[in-house]
Amino acid sequence: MGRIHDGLPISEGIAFGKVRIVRWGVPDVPHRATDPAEVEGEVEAFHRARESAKTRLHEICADTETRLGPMEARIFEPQILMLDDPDLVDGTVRYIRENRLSAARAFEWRILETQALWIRTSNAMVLDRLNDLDDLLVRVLQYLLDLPEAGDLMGDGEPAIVVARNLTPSLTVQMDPSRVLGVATELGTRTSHWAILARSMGIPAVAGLPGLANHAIEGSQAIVDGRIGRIILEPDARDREVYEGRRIRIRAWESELAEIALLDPVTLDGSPVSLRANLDLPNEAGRAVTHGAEGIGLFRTEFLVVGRNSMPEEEEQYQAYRHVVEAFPNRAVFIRTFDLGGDKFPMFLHMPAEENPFLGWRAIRVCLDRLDLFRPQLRAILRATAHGDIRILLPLVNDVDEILRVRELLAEEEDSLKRDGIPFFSGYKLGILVETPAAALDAAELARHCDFFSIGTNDLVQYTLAVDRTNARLANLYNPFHPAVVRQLHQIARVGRAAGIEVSVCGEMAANPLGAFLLLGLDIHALSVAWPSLPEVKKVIRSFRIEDARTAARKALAASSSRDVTACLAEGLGTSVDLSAFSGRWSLNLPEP
Amino acid sequence: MEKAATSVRTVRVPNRAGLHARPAGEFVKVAGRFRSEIHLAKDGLEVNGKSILGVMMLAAEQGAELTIRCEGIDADDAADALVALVERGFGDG
Repeated sequence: MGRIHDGLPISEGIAFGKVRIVRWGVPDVPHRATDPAEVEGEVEAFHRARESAKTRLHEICADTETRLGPMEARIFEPQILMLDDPDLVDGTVRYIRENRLSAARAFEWRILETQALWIRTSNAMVLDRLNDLDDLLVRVLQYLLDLPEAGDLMGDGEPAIVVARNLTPSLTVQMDPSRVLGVATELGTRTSHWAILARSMGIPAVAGLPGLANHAIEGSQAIVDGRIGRIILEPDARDREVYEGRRIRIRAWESELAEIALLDPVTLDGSPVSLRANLDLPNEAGRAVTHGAEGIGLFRTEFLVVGRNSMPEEEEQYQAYRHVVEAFPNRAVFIRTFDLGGDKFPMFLHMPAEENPFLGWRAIRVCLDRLDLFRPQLRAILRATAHGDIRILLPLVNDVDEILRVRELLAEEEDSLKRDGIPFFSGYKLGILVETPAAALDAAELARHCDFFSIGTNDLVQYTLAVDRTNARLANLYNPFHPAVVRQLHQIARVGRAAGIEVSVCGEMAANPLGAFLLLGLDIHALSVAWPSLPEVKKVIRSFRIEDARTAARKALAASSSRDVTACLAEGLGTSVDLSAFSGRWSLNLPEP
Repeated sequence: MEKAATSVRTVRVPNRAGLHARPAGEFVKVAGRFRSEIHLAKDGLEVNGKSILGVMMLAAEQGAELTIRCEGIDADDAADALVALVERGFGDG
């Protein structure tokens, strides 16, 4: 066994290679007092260096936008603004003039002072950004001291794993992924700007490995596993074999995923599935399309209210809904009405503090109490029906009366739209999220008043098992494969079939390979998952026969424990799919390599 | 000479991510458009509202109360613009 160091997983992927220890740092600034005659020259030099740094950062920004995207490019914007920061600029100039410091010395002092102030806040968000100040300091000093740009960490060396004390956004974005195989650092966090860039560039990375630069030997072999946050120094033949196999499986899987977006979501024996995407923001609609979504199974609308100080206007809502609907011509778009409360508190609602917010005033309960919030939303959705196939999805419904009340409100808003001469399509559909045991048990009654059911497995599991899914201590108790959950899914699917309405699933369970296998086996043929998961789910669907799923589901329904359910499903799916290729977030009960 | 005015307003940070680097940048960009001096304070700590280094240091999180103090001939306009920016959640999604 090689020497194992465990740190923080920063960027997924497995890398093999030779260690290249990179020591970069703030250059030494020579100490010298300036002559009175030189002072204005130093001020000039500082402003020139500032301008050069700005120009270069704008170039890096533009280049990053082209290569990685606008989000990544914005990482450099604060640094550009810092170069015009009055406190930083005036402070530096004052040190040059009053203390007779060289421009380099004065700027370094001013940055160090700022860092000292920031460190005193002990705030994680602020501490994360100290690294950006280092980046800026190095850049400006390079111009003042006439040093080469610390760009290419690899020099002329062969491809390697970079080991460093820390990195900066500038150093990271200039790495060539064909030559920097992986990264391992002593400092840094998942939210460091350089970490975000490493992820975006697909370079496997691990941070939080104290003393690594001393333990690692230049030129020796190492394996970086960015998924679990581990580096193995000087791995032996067995380590290499294990990781080689793992890497090959993951690579093969990923290359298949890339090609799959254009293929139909059908099982191996041709049984069709409606595969839709969950959407948090309207501007993700385009990516859902390119990932192969056949409509939106869950459009969450809380982005319109959370983080706002005022209620959203009808017009803004209408535009957002319309934008998404128009991205999916002839496809269904399920718009969920505001699911507020629980862990989502808009400021303007003044939500009371509650003992049990998840059992409290939330979702449909809030909407029916606050018609000033709900009516404009219904009206905006109705207006959007003029542009496509809209399904209105009501969260946390337990009771028939809740649906009837919404139907009344919709009828009133329809009348008002007619009076105003505003077009809408009256053939839209209305249904509910089945996400409580009450709704599951009473599904037959609810189905009489619904055009469809969508099962929200995240809440259904939480409410069925009385396990808070955000409580880390209970993580092993939150199990979507509990027999009580499986039986409810079966019951909801059966009721939906009998009533002739579509049953879909939009919870995380649909994105879990074993979950998708089970749901199809239970004859639920419409799944909706976060758009990044679409290719993986489709790959799973295309690899098994519907009969095998039904057989496994029958066994799962008869199982006596969560473990047995998982075992039935893993056995059934494992004959068609290599389950070890999946990312670690699914508890598939598989042995670690 | 034009008359200098002072405008003091308080506002809460509404967006989930808080006043992190990008919103701090938006804040100083808007502040920089006005001639008034602009001060931003949280929990008794006051910084120059035109300095991104200062604004970032406040590390104001969701729900934090900010006091915006503008002094100068366009103090009211500056305060209006900055309050509106914060209330919009700095344009964060």
